[in-house]
Amino acid sequence: MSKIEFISPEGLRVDGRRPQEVRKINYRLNLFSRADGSAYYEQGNTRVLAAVYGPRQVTRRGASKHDRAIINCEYSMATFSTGERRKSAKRDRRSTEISVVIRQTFESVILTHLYPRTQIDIFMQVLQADGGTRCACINAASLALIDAGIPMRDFVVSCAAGMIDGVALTDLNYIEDSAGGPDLPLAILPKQNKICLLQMDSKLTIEQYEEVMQMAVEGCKQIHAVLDAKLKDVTDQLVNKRKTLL
Amino acid sequence: MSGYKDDSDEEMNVNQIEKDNEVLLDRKSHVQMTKTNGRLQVQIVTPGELIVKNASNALCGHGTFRDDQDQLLSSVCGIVERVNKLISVRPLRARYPGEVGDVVVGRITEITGKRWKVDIQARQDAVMLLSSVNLPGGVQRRKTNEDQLNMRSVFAENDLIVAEVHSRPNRDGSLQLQTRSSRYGKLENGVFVRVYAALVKRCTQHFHTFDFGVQVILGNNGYIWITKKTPVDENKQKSMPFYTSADADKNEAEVIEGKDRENICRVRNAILALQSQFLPIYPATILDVIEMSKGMESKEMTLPDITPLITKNATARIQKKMEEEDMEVVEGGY
Amino acid sequence: MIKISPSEKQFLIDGIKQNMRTDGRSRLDYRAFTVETGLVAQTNGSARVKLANNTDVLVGVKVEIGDPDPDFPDQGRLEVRVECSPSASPEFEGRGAEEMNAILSAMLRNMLQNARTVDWASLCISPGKQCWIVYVDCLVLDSAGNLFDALSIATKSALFNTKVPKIEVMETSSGQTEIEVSDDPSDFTRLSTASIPISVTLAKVGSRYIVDPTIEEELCMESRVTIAINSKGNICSIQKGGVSSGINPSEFNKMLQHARKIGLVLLKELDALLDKEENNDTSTKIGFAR
Repeated sequence: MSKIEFISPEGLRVDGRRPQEVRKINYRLNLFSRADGSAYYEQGNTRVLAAVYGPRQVTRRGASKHDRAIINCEYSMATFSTGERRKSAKRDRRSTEISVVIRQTFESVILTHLYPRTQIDIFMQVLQADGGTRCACINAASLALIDAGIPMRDFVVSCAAGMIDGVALTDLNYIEDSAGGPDLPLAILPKQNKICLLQMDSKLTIEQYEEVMQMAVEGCKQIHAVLDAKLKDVTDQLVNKRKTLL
Repeated sequence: MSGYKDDSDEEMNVNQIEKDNEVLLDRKSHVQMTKTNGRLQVQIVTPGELIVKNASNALCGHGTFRDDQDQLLSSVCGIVERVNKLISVRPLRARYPGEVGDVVVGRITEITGKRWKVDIQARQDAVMLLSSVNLPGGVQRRKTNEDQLNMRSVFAENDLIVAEVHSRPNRDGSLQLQTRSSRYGKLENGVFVRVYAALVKRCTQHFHTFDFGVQVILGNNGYIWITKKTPVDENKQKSMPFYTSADADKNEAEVIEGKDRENICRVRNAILALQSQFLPIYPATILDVIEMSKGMESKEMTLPDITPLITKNATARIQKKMEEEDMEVVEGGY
Repeated sequence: MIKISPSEKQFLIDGIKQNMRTDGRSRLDYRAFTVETGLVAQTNGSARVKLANNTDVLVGVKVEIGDPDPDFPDQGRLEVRVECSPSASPEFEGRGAEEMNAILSAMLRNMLQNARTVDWASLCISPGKQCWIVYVDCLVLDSAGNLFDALSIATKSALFNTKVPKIEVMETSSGQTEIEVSDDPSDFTRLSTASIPISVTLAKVGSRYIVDPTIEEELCMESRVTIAINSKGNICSIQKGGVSSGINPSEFNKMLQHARKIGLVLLKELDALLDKEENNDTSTKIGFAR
């Protein structure tokens, strides 16, 4: 089997991108009739859906907190989302881990103290997986929360970065992710410049780590710019129809 | 057109940023707008975005928060509003927050102790105490234990009611409802429609009757009830301020048929068409849609290619209002 | 959870009696549906069906090589799975949708797992040893009632869209069979889906029955009959659900006749839509971004 050339001599990646380039992003809000907020998000070939319910009455008595809202997160991958069909969609260990990690991210960002005794549900579904699914899900969830009008400290965005053959790369796709190099998913609060999620696997020297971190932060900022611009545009269009509601 | 500056210039000093742009303060609607390219632009912000740099004398309204450097930031995506020193951001869609005096339509979810719990599409279920309800007989009296046991005969689970938001929220944040007036009570014999709460404008008349004999109750919380207008209702309500399920058996609800039913379907579909185009829902816009859909069958009104066509007039009406500078203050939305 | 009060139920039942339902339809009117195929890249075939814009189901088909069913050693086999996503309703979180999933999966399986729906023999690779397994995975994203029919339409469309890669079976010297799957994406065979039926659900409300119920109507129905019809007009499967005491056999016959008529109309509509999809370039598909 031939070795894949991850970086061509001209500096292009397998899909033609430059090392610091994030994949093409597109999204749409308000897709479902019952959810308070929802978003469809695609980043390259990774496609995810997110649905948000709440703040609403807590369903499980005794689980409600008197001083803030409880956040409930579920991440699941469709069985047909990956190259090889997955057997279990929901309750495998990886999905549970990602659900917990995403929940913790949003618990720190949503202004939960404003809505005591309520619950906010975030449901994410991966339709197509091509690397960076947890980052795409965080972005989709962020958009869905905004669509539901749930207040947050900042516009959480997430991007992953890694390193292959000594070159730091932003937004790895599945092929690059499987190359065995380090993978660093990161989520930041772009305006406040704070990190709310950071994970890493494999190993890096401190210098390499700095480089990859920087790439991830830059990637997040790129994504934020795209999401923010489109959001303002969409809102503007709706507002111009709706101003009498103010 | 040169900048139109309100005489209350002091209010404007709260935000120094806008000094450079032409600022129009629509004096009645409190929304900060800038006129760019001859088109009114409101200030749209996204979560985390800076609204005011030095917010020590500004008040944080909904949708904003103060950070450690005393800056005022937005926490939602929406439009910035200023009323004197109060700055808030209104998101386009959100759960119904509730305001005292609002008329709401709700569904009973639970009966516990001396209270009903009502779902009103808010963040928590609202509460309606036994004491806030008129019992049959109309006489105000102290509620006995028997009344408590008979709560289910007044309002049972899943029943729909129309009520008024009573007082400030309870300590746990839930709203309180009351049905003391004869206008309020159980809703029967009609259709229920759920829309975004933000689309129902606050107006003077939430109970509206159309000429063609359909009555709608536009709950501020986005729950809407459509039924047939019956002149008989007036008398019924006078003699019996409270219509309970026990009475339902005695006065069998009149079966609505023919043209009346068709009109109800039309109103329902008109409301859903307005929602799909994200237009405000109030009697004038509903009428606009119904007028434009006169030629077609009511079931065609909700088709995705038809809704933009039939809502054209309604959209034009809304845009006209936007361009008129002295608008009535109709404080709808949040 | 969508709830309904006794009075609303009565209004609905009256409307159905008068042949004017809450959305203006008559009893046997079907809502408009749209179909899109080829949306999910990692599948061998996929389709998304939207019924009245609010019922949204996505079906992905993947084919894999595996062991055949010992009772049918020279045929391929089918595995169907339906999953209701919490985006349709918050109570589908975790295990909440288990019962719903089981009922929907069983209905689809019943309809498809039939000797005549697909040419199963063509999916056999090496009798008794290897065959193609067709995995049909359905995802319910949003529901406005009538999931049975929406799922059957989506499944038929997804199977229509499925491309099975061409393979070469070779005997090695040691008597083992080796299978080589073609890498070329344009080297594939299609499934013969002309005989796949779709289901038409009739719900009995009061003393009448309606087709394509909405969620509120489903809450008022006493029983439901789901009938699968194929393009020849043959009835392929019947399922009755619901809590009523039963349906009169003569009434049942009438229901079958109506289902058959409606089913044939739907099939024609679906075939026309699928042909259009075939000729559409994949790059113009917008999918969920629309």
